Amino acid sequence: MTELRNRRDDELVALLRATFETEIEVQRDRIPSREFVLLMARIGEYNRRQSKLATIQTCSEILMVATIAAFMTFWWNDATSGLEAIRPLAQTNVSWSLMLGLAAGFFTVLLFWTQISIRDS
Amino acid sequence: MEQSGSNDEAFRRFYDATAAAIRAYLLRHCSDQDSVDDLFQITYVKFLASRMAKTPDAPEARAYLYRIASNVIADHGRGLQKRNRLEGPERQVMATRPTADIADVLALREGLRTLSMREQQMLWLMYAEGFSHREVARIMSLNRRSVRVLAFRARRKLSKYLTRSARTDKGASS
Repeated sequence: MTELRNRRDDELVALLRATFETEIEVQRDRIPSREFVLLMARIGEYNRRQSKLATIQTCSEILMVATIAAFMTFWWNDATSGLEAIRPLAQTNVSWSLMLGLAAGFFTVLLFWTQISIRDS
Repeated sequence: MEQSGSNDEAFRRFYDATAAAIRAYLLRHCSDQDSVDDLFQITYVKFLASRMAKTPDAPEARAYLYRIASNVIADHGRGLQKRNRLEGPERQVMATRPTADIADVLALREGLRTLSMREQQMLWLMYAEGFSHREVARIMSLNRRSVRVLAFRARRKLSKYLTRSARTDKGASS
């Protein structure tokens, strides 16, 4: 221990290197297998993807419900007040069949998007 | 995440070259020794989820892995502190360091424990891994000049501790 007293900086560095190297060597037999780490990484990736898909699905469902609700509101408004009363539609000459088609198309696209997202998971 | 054949082989080489050092780094710098295996997995899982996983042969990949490991240690330390605050100090896990039979190494290990976590990490990165000041600065999110100064101070502090320890031992034996 007495030789530690006047240890120079380079000796200290050499001792540090040797100590660290020993610690690393000790760990060589204790590391988990590479396959295990890869498996854990794949599980983590799968979970992240599932989480992302769940978010997409939730958003899709909200959009679908909102579309249906909007369409139902529009339809109810029409049923109660009559087609002539809806000024914007009358002014732009947008037919009810076109509106119905657009809404149905939007709904279908959303439905398929959700189904494809789930299938690919 | 999908590993092609050559990429898989590259990762195998990278893992073989880094795993022991990363585990030793985590073991030395994490106060909760029981969590080292978990932190080890988290480090590699995060690496594999990053873009760097596509090029593990790149020279900066090793430094990047150490950066992840340092962040994992810091996050875990914050989590432990929070848990200790909530559950009381009796839950605190005491570090159990590996013992050594060489007096010099033992004294050095004791001395390293007197340094701050940042200083210990810095010395490890410089002398266990041989990273340059610039690389250490990048890994630890520090200024390059600060690394040089901090490393010098850490060595001086360690040297003083060893000198003091030697005097104490000599006094005790005489």
